[in-house]
Amino acid sequence: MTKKLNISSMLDFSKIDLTEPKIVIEEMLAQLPSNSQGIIQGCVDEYKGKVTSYTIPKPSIASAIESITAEERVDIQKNLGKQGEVCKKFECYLFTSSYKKYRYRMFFMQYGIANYPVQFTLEESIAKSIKYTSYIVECNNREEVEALIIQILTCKKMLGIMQELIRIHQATRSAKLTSSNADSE
Amino acid sequence: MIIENCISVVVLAEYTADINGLIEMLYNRGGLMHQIPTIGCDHIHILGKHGLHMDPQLHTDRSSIQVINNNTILCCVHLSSQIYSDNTDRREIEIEQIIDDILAIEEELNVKNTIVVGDFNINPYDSSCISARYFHGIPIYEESKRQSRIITGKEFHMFYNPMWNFLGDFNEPFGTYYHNSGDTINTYWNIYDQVIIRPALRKRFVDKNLRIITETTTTSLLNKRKHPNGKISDHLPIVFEIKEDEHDQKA
Repeated sequence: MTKKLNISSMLDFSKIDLTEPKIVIEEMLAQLPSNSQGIIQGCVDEYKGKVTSYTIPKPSIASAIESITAEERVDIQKNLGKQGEVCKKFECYLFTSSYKKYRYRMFFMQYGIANYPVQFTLEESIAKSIKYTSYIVECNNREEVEALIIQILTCKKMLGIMQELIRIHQATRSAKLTSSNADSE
Repeated sequence: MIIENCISVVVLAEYTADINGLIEMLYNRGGLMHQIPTIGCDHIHILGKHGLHMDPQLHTDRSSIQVINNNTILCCVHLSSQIYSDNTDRREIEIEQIIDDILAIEEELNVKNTIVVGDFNINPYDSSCISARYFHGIPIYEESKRQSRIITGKEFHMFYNPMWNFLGDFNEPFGTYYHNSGDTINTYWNIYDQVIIRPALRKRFVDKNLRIITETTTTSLLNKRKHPNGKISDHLPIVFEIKEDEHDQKA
């Protein structure tokens, strides 16, 4: 008699959302205007430059006093030989209608053809604001990406930037109104 | 110092005092200046004289790019320090990104009138200041006139770096920042505060007005050992002049 192969209970069949990170972030950024009376917007654009080095700083206890960082040398051999590997790189920034060309770049991200894991390279001040010891963060699925973006957009640094943009927008509008009132008189 | 030197644009790195207080102080002494937005770039504050038109562009933690009068790009930087931790790799990435950002704006505006100024935290002779991959700051204008060179099929644009003229001890001060590191490589004096320009701006650059400031009419910025007075600042400021474009003058 054939023995029963009972491994279904050992396997994980839960569905993991592997939507392309760029799309996930764009969907979240699309909520910014409605949350800021149309003043603040976000964008994800393709980036062709370099976003990380081959020496990735790894936080250690000593790094708390900002004097020593232990470094992990990335073994390039891990990547050599993988022909046809696609690496997509993007930058994500905030902008506002008040200043046509102003942008604040929040982070870079890069991922391969499998979409995950996705590596984020945060602006240093944002990493500190969300209490991350490293400015390089990896996410393995949509849920983790969304959680990170929410942390970023609601951190003190980003809220401070958005508030400043709102104040400038209000000041600009007020100045325009005053100017047009003066003209009509 | 700002009034004495008739400064039009003030770039401050790591300014911790009240910026509005400074503006008021300048106003009381006849200097009308306003703060130029550097939203998000907490390391840098910029003041511009009244009437100067500056448009903010891309901002990051370490750089603020502005466009002056629609034809001159001003990139203000405060790069990672190499003194308290070796941030060489990260600083090089920052520089590469800044160069990419500058090139994008130059292409968009179709101009090559670019100034990069600030606390570079590297000396003019450091590899990331000279290397084509990074700032590509050439010390000799006649060579930088080439504007760019091709290496392994890629074009690398040049800057002219006049700060090389301050190296050595023939003239004082010997730099903008003093640090006795105790390392095997220690030059004591460093020129961390720099200005580099695209060769296109060379004719408008006034050589004799590129200076490292050590005193004002009332105050010395040096201590008894002729090092920067830490009670005022651990850096000495630099000033430079670029004449306005003839087109702007007529306007």
